[in-house]
Amino acid sequence: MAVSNITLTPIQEMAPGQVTAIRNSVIDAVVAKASSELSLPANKLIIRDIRPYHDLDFADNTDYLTEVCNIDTWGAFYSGGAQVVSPAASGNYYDAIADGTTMADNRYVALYGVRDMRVSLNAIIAQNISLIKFNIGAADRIIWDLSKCENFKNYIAGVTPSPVVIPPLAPYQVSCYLMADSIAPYLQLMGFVVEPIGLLITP
Amino acid sequence: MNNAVNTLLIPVAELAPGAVAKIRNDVINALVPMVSRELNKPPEKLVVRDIRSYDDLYWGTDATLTTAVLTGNIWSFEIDDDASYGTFNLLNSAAHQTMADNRFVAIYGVYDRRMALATPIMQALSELKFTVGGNDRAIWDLQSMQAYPSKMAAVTTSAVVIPQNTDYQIYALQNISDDGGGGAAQDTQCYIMLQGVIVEPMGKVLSP
Repeated sequence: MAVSNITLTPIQEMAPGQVTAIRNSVIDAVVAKASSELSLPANKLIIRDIRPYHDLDFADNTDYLTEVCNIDTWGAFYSGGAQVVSPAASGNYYDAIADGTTMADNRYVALYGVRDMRVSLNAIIAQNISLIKFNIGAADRIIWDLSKCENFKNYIAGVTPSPVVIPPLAPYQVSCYLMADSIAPYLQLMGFVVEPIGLLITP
Repeated sequence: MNNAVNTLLIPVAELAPGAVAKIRNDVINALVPMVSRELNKPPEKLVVRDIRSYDDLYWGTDATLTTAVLTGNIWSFEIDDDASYGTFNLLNSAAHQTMADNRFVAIYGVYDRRMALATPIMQALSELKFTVGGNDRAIWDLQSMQAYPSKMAAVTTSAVVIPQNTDYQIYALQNISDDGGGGAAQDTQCYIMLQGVIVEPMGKVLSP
């Protein structure tokens, strides 16, 4: 079947082990791509967690939060300033990445899902995001609907077998469709970084 | 399957049944032969035991991140004010940064225990960083567990190993200021706990 399947599937609708299978297949594909493009053998590469600010520049845009978040947290758990979004008009996409951002050299970021973190709050609030759009290299690559995952309290997460890959030096943007004013968005993107050993980590 | 080094911290809720046990057993099965070889002792003369947070790792002994430094085997502590906010700060103080002789530690995951409180609080730490022998070995994103309040734990297939007599530093990145974002002048608590094992000669601490 040659069609591009980019749907986001709630992890509670998957068989045991399927999330791991998707993660491993995405890792294999991105490592092969990075190895080929950087001309480095795979054993000279590292797969590591994403640092939301230093790798993605996530939540560093006042479109998304009323004050930019400039530390490594996925936005709303930040308390250096006001955490809530204040969109000019709800029911629109708002950019979560600083305008004009490009991926660092020698760094690949793969995104294959999303987690909704607000369920770990003491007082759970509503989710303010319905759709998430990824624009890579000036083309809209994917739109995910987070709402479908919300049926499964305690496991609000979804994954896709067709990841978004942001290659080195590529311009990119992540835009969230915000439904209401003054609600903090608790969203984490599932993914990883592939880069040469020693660029940041030397395991 | 590629042979790149995979340091991802994966929520246990996203793993198949049995995967955590496999990771734990793989870590133990890799560490015991290493210790056996380096200490020149057969495996039956070694013991694999739980980590004591203070006596083995000196967790919570640096004054920047903690309101009162820990002096006992307790994982939870009160996080200090904005002086430590937004950057990596040490969890083990400068006086406690060398692993004991004849002791090897492997750390392969974390637990976030705050959801077991009567009134769960916010998690104030977003990342952990491990430096062993002068190299940054892993940076883990603790927020990957937050979507799974009934199963808030995560593991990695690439354990951080701290060999005997080796310098190590464990850092945490605090993402919430001292009042937990609530505006009141109160410090937040850390309820993070490391998953791991100690391998050492029998009789050093335990003689099972």
